[in-house]
Amino acid sequence: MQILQKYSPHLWCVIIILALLVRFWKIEYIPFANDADELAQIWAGQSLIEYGVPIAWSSFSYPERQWYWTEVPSLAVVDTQVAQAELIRPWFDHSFVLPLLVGGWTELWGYRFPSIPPALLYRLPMLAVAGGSLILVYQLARRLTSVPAALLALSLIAFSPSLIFAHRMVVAENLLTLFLLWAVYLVVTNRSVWWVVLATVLAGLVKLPALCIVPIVVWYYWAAGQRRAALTYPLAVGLGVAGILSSYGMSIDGPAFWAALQHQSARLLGWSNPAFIFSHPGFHTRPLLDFSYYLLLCLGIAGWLVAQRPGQRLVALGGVAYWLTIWVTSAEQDMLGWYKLPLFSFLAVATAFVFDWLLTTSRSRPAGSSAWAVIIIFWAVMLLNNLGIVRYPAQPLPEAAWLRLLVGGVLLLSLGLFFSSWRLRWVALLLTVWVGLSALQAGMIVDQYFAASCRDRNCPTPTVTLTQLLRQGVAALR
Amino acid sequence: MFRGATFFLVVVVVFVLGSWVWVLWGRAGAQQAARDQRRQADLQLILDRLQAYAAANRTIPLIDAQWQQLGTASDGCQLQTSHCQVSQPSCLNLNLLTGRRDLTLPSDVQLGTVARTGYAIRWDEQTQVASVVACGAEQAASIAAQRSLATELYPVQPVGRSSR
Repeated sequence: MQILQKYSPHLWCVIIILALLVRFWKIEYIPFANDADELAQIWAGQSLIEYGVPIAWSSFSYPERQWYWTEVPSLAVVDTQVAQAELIRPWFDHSFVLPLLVGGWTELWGYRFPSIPPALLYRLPMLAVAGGSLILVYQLARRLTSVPAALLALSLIAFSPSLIFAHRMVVAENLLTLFLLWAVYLVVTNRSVWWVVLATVLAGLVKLPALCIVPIVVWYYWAAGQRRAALTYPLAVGLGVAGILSSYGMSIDGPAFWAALQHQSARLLGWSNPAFIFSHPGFHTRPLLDFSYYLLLCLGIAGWLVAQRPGQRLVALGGVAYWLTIWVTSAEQDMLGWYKLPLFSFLAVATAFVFDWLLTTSRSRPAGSSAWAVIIIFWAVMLLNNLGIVRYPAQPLPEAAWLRLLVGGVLLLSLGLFFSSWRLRWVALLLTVWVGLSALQAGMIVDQYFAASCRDRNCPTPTVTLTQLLRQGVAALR
Repeated sequence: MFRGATFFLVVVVVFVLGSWVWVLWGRAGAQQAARDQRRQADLQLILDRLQAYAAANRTIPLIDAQWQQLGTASDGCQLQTSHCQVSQPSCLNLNLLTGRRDLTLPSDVQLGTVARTGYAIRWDEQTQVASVVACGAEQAASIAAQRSLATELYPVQPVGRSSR
């Protein structure tokens, strides 16, 4: 642990850099390029900048006066499915923050509405957003627990395959998560309430469900005796979000804006989503059988159980609040997987509570406690399970004999861990090895997932790839 | 404490709110010009489609000599702006020019819809010239375009029009 303390300023940076590398590698392949939800954000931003009105597609029903046709340049895609898009103008499915960010980014590179920029380009800003969120997960966990616990929590989220893919997507939840974590971090570091207001307003402007954090923060301030902050905060956030959003909507088309808000708030909701979260791993519309999803879910909820300090309870309650928010804002078993991103970010921080609790209690008894054994075994199971994420049709990995051997090894490991007492340093060493293997495995998965998944079927193919650019660069240099 | 947490927050807030103000109010002139450019491009596209249809079929759909708004609506298509006066109550549906059932002609980026595009068309049988105009043009000059289809249509025999 002393070694960790000494090198932590470097270790967490190394993990963040590796996490960004695996998020960047083949970013244009998975999730599939030209995802419709991403294009909606991009087009809304491009049209808002060029014409002063957001135009994008929507799955909501809008009145006929808002239907707008445009032909999308189909040369931009390999598969020629996209020719015409029936769009909505003005488009109020989401606010202006993310569209301006990604739309503006694509406009800087010369792409005009309604062009389809390469995924390699339009997903780059999300790398910065992901980096910010990961930094905040670590800093929050470190603030509320200890360096080793925070490093473990960071490793879990940094190398989770499903989160790697999800963090690449141009969806509001990625940006919302960044601002939510920021707000919580400012609260636990005792910054002025006005900084917290700013961060929360930003989160609310990205997407209104972020405001579920408001009552939690109010409770935190009230419990801490900061009555003025407890009253100022919700008023300022409410006025800020309402004022900015309504002036945005009114400046474009007031009646359409209010109608869209009403329509969205009245849509059909799901009554079984808490159970659906447990049954639907992954953060896209299709499940991804990634065991790290369940490790984050279970350890995160366990973190809620052991949260004792006020800051830890704030994070735990923030996760609960967002979990309930997902329940009342998404359709029956039809959840778009990225809705869960803020929840799992809170859960990632909460996993540090469990690790820290174990570290603290381990000092008073032999390190061979069953709790550490369970975590080590589950992490091993995750590594083993995730070997199966990359499956080639003709040669599925791992082969049956190897699988039985490895699973048998896990069983032996379990027996060894449960029935022997051993020093905490061996726990640390084993977990360090597991983290290293997780990083390697994440790299393998991001490298091969597209090729394996699309070997025997047609998948949307990116028009511009990093490999192409590198080859062109090398050719130009020669 | 993570240094710079508040500094970066200020940067982000200034960026987000500044972008919002700039896009909605600071770029009004440029956006107006962009919308008018879009209208010009749309008019050219409509004429391109009409010309291609004429070349392929040696005829054109029935287009009136008076301005008529393009669209799918059967009423409410009168339009009075500083750039066009359309008195016909029904729109003219020329979506068959696109050659695909799921394609429609473009509509004005600000006031047009699929049902009422904000663009008007008329046909001069004497000169065999099709004229289109963008009724929603924002800058002083009118946005209009004309195209002679004599080469594509000769001999001229519009569909549904009796010979004189």
